[in-house]
Amino acid sequence: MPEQNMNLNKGILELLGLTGLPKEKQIEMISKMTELVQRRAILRVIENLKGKDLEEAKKVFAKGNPEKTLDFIMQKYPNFNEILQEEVNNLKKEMVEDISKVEL
Amino acid sequence: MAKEKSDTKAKLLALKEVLEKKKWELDDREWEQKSMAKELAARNEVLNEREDALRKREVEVAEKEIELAAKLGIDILMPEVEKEIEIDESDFLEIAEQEEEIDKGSSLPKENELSDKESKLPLTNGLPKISISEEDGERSRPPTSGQFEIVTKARDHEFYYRVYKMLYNKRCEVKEFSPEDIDILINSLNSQVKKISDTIHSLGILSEDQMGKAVNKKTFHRRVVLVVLSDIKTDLILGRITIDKLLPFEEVKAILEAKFK
Repeated sequence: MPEQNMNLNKGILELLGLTGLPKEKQIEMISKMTELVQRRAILRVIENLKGKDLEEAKKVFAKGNPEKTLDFIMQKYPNFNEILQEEVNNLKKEMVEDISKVEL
Repeated sequence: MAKEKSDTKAKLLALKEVLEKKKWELDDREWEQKSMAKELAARNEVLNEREDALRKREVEVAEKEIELAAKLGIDILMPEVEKEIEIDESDFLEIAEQEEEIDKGSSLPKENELSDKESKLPLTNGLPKISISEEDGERSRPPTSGQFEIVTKARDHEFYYRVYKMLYNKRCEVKEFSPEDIDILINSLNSQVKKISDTIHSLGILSEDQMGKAVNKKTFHRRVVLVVLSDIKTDLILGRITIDKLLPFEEVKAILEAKFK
């Protein structure tokens, strides 16, 4: 999901005051945050699965194939990209809030 | 005479000027270095805070995933969790060196020898002492150089997943970890383990002789950490020590000092 990566990459480093870090550290942070966003989005999706969909999801997840898992999610939630974007924004907000608390 | 005096004075003045200039240069350089160090420290502090905030979120998500996994009977663990993790060159070299030492073989400590030493340590605190057989050690050894297959460096969250899941699902103690789990556990702790074992040495928990005999660093670290962890005892703390560096080395050191000093 390169688009989401880019958005997160562009904004959050500045928001978190991390632009002065060495490139590799920046990439590491971005990759952690991206993964966290993806996990959160998947959680959100799974929480809402019911009945037949849930049974189907169990089978798909059991296979442990990330591509198939994503296909399944996209099929059930065509707006998954929006969900991801929301999660990106949520994480940004939370992180900034957390940091403001620390710095107060 | 007067001219000589004035020449000397002029020379001295010139010298003084040069020295002053040098001093200024040195001061400038020192100031630059100090401000660079300050900047670096500030940057690290910022990074640490951000990483803490992120870690907090990762822990929350992991807890939620486990909760949901149990509730819905669905394994949400991301596929990466189980896959082997790439190792960087320094890990590779370190392991290769260790393996070379093992292959030389002669000074490898005998199982009984170490167990005997360990049994003298006031560490077990009522918990069954953990012993890893050499067979287990063999199993965890990478085949030969160039074919390394072992997991040497679990990323924080992956490791967290595994340990947390085990603790959550099985409420298990250290002894219930499989050799493979222990491998992941120990390997992911590699650098911290070294510091811990150095501390153990510096606190006199193990003698230099005992340390010296532990040529097989991997086995040694494993033993030391397991003994220490079994003493520190609760699975929760095991989790805290091993999971995502929640306990930084300084804190582990403080625990050790409180217990053994």
